[in-house]
Amino acid sequence: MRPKAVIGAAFIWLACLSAFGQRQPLASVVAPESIPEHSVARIVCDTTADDVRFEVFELLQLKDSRGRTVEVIGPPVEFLDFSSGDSRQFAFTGPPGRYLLRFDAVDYDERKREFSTSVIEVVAGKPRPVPPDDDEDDPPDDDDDKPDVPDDRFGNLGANVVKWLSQIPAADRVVAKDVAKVYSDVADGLEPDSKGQVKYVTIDKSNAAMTVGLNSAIGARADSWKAWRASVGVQLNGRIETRQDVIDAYRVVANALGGKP
Amino acid sequence: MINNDIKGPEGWWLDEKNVDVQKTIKAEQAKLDELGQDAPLMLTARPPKAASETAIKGLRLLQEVDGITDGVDLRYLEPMAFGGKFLNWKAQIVGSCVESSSNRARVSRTLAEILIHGQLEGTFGDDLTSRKNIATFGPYSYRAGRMLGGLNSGDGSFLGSQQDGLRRFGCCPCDTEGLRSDAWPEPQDMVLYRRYGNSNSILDQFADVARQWNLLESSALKSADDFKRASVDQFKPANIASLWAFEPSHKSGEWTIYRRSRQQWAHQVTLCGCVEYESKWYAIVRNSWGQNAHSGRDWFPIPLELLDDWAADRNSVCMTMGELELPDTPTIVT
Repeated sequence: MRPKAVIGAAFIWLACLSAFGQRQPLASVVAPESIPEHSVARIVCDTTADDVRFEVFELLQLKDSRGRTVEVIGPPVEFLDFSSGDSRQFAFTGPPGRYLLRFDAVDYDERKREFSTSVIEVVAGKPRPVPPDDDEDDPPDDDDDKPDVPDDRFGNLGANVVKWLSQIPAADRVVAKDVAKVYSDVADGLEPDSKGQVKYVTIDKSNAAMTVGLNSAIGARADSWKAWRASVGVQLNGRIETRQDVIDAYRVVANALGGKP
Repeated sequence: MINNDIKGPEGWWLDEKNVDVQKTIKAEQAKLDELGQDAPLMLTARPPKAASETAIKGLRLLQEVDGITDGVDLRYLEPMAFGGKFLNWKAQIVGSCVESSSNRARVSRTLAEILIHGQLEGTFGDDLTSRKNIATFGPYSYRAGRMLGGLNSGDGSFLGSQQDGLRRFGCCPCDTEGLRSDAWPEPQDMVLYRRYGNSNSILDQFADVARQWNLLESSALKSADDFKRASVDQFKPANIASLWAFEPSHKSGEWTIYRRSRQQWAHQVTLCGCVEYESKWYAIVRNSWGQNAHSGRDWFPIPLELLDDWAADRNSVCMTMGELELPDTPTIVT
């Protein structure tokens, strides 16, 4: 082919590519097909634009193989600022089943908004480790522990709660379930009840309820539980960014202490 | 036609007794232009924030009890937060509509940031009566807007300068030491309210405290679609200043639907919701003329298509109440 023809063909190819590029989706989501329960899934978002912001718009549990939605199990997880090829991890703490992740990809420069979805099958079984995520802090070093509670996004808070609990004298551990109930109740109070009402509008209010509840549950065993409360506080406060984080973290603590999920 | 409305004072002008509407509109536009030059970022809508599906579900549950089948009415954040009850807002007693409606929008937005977006922020208080008030002190923000609008006598203000005042002077919590009033968050003593509205002493005394709590974002809305996006997708109320007046038109279910009347109000109100009721979409307009001002309510619905005309009117100014700087939540207790 002569040089002019080569250049001409290249222009046509570029023009086609450009035209097709405009019709390409703004972004797509690549997620593992299945993961064991209580695991963290790494999800890769791919985009054709430079400045696309990803939001996890919905996290839905699907009921059957036809993909019928039965229950919204989670709020939007977080805002994600991605470039093409970046990935983020999501913890799936719900029961085994099929989960639909709906991403809302927004290109604010171009004023475009598109959805991408991915279905993840969460199967019954033990969690397995996932490769570390560069964007997340390393969890505390728990190499010596063999926790019987799953990993969580609060840096193995649940496992550590169990570990720290074991350091409390057995006689004083008997109130663990009462303590769990306080955490569970306060978490409930931060969310709307069956009438749509929220008991604790602010974290100040839930803090006050937590203090009263824990002091009452622990009572005369306060000294034995002091270190436990301090350790939980340090780890939890380092990881909390939203109200939902507070709710989720309190539930992790409640679960780890044997309270209701 | 049902006509049991209770009209209150207006205030989107220089002086109630000596109003020059065209002058008001020109002055408002000048204030908006100034604000656009000084703070273009503030006037740019921020990207939508993550919202808690659980909280939205709770909000919808409360709305459904009243027959609202879709959309968002931010007023319902009040019963969500306050044991099932709407807040009992005091009626505007002077021409402070710009501030009175703004305060309602600020409380709605405060609750949205905390409950819907899950931001770790706190409220200024827990009620609408005590010094530990969820709303901030009205006359402070009123004076800030009036000062920036060059208004030193009479009543009234501009929406542009009000937003600029919230940006530059912030909001003064009612429990700020040294603050004096006969009622909170707005005085019920007209003389006192007007004195605050015409003197910079309140700014001089409390600006150091109030500047911490300022308005970070407010974008202009020009259509019903703009408002629907702001309200339903982003949980932002809006304020609209205009010459439009409204009157009851007809009933739909339990609601009295309003239409534009031939009167003229130089007034500002809050757009607090965009909802579906009886299979039609409405904008919910909250007024500051008392709890029973409009067919026994402090709000009235207008067809969404009417808002399209209202917001697009060349004499209307409509701006969202976006992100607010609020007190941060302290350490989480464990």
